[in-house]
Amino acid sequence: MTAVHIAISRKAFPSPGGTRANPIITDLAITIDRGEFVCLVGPSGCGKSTLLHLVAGLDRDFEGRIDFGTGDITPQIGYVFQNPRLLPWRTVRQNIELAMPHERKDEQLVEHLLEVMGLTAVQQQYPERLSLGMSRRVALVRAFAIQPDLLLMDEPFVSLDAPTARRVRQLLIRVWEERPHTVLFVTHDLREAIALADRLVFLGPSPTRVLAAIRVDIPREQREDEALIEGFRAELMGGFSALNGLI
Amino acid sequence: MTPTQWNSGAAVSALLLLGLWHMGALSLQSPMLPPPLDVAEVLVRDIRTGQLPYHLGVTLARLTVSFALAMSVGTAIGIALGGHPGLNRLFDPWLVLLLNVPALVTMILCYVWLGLGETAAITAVVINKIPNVVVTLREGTRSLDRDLMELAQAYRFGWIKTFRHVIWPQLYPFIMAASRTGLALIWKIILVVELLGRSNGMGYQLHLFFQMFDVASILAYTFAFVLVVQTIELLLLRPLDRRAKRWRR
Repeated sequence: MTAVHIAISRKAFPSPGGTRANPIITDLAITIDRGEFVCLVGPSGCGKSTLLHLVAGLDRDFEGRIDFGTGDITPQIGYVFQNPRLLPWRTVRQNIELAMPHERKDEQLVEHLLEVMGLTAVQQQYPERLSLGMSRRVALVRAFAIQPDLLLMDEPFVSLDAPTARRVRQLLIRVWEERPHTVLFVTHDLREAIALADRLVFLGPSPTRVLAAIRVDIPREQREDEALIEGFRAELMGGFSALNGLI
Repeated sequence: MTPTQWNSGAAVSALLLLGLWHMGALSLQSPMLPPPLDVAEVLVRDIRTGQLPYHLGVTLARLTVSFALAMSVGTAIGIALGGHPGLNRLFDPWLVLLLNVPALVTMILCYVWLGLGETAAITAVVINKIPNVVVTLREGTRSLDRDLMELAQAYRFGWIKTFRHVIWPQLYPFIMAASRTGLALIWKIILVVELLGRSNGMGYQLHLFFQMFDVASILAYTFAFVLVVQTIELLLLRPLDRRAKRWRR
C-alpha cells in the first residue's frame, strides 16, 4: 500500500506550431492516503488522463513532484487504461501473466480473479474474439493480478452498457475489499464516482485545479442503493453551485 | 476457392503450358526450343551425374548466407532508423542513394574492391538487399502501437519482455514481407553475381550453357531452381506466415 502526494506546478504539451503551449495543469495539489479509494471527477479534456499518466511515470516532462512516500522504492502500479490495451497476439491468460512481476506471480490469485470476473472459460482465447466488456474485465484482472500498491483507473467502464458496468463495478469493489490498496479512479460520471469512492475530488476545466474534495459517507454496503446515490448527488449539486454545468 | 480446387486449377494450368510448349517445339523443330521431354532428360542426367545438385547447392548456400546477413543487419538498421528521427534524417539520403544504385554497379565495385572471391559475391548481394529490408522495417517500427508501449512501460515489462511480446509481434508481418520480397530479389541477383565472378553455382553454369547455346540445359537448370525456391516458399514462409496470423479473428 502506498500514499500518493501530487504537487504539479505546471504541465504543458509542446504545441505543433512551436508557439508557447498552454498549460493543461497548473498548481495542482492532491494527497491520497494509503488504502484510500479516490475518484477524480471532472469534464472531458480537463487533464484527468494526463494526470494519471504523470502518476504512472509514463510522462516525466512536467514541473513539480509526485511522491509515493516510499523513498527510492517505486510502488507496484496497476493501470487500467480507457481502452483495454490487451496484446492481441497473446491469449487472455498470457496477457495477465505477462504483466505480473516474477516475485509476485501467484497462479491461484489469477485463477480466483478469472473466476470472479467470469473469464475462466475464455482464458486460452485470443483477445480479438472477446467482446468489449470481456476485454475490459481482462484488463481489470491484469491490474489486480499484479497485487498493486497503487491502482490507476482511467474511465475503465466507459462504453459498457449499464447492467454490465454495474456488475463490473461490484466486482471491482469486491476485489478491492479482499485486498485493500490505494486507488485513483478517473471518471466523468458522478453517480459512478459516488458509488465507488471514499472521497471525491472535483477538477475544473483546463488548466486543471481542484474545485472541491468531498468525503462520501454512505456506508459501503448501501452503495448499491440508487436512491441514496441520487440523493447524495442532488445534495452535492445543491451545495456546490460551482459544480453546476461542469459535471 | 478451397485448396483442392486451387491445386487442381494449378495442375490444369501447368499441363496446358507443357502442351503448348510441346506443340511449339514440334512445329519449330529447332534446337533453340527443345521439347519438354528433352529438357526432362537433361534434368535427370545432370541430377544423376551430380552436376546439378552441386551447383544448385553452392548457389543455395550463398543464398542462405546472404539472406540471413541482409535480413539481420537490415532489420537492426531499420528498427534504429524507425525509432530515432534524428538518426533517420542523417542516414535517409544514404538509403535513397543505395536504393537507386543499379545492382550491377554494386557487384562490379565489390569485385573490384574485394577481389573475385566469395566475400565479394556475398557482400554484393547483401548490399543490394539491405536497403529494401531497412525501408520495410523502418515503416514497421514507425507504426508500433503507442498504447501498447505505454502498457509495457506502466507494467514495467523491461526491455527483453517488451521486445519479445510487444514489439516483435508487431514487426513480424513486416519481416515476413521483407523476407518474401528479399528471397525473390536475392535469387535473381545471385545468379548475375555468379555469372560475373564465380566459377561455380547456377549463374556460372547458365553462363556456360549460354556460350554453347545449350537451351535444353538452361531450361532444365532454371526449372530445378524455380522448383527449389517455390518449395522454400511453400514449406517455410507460408507456415511461418500462418503461425503469425493464428491470433487473428
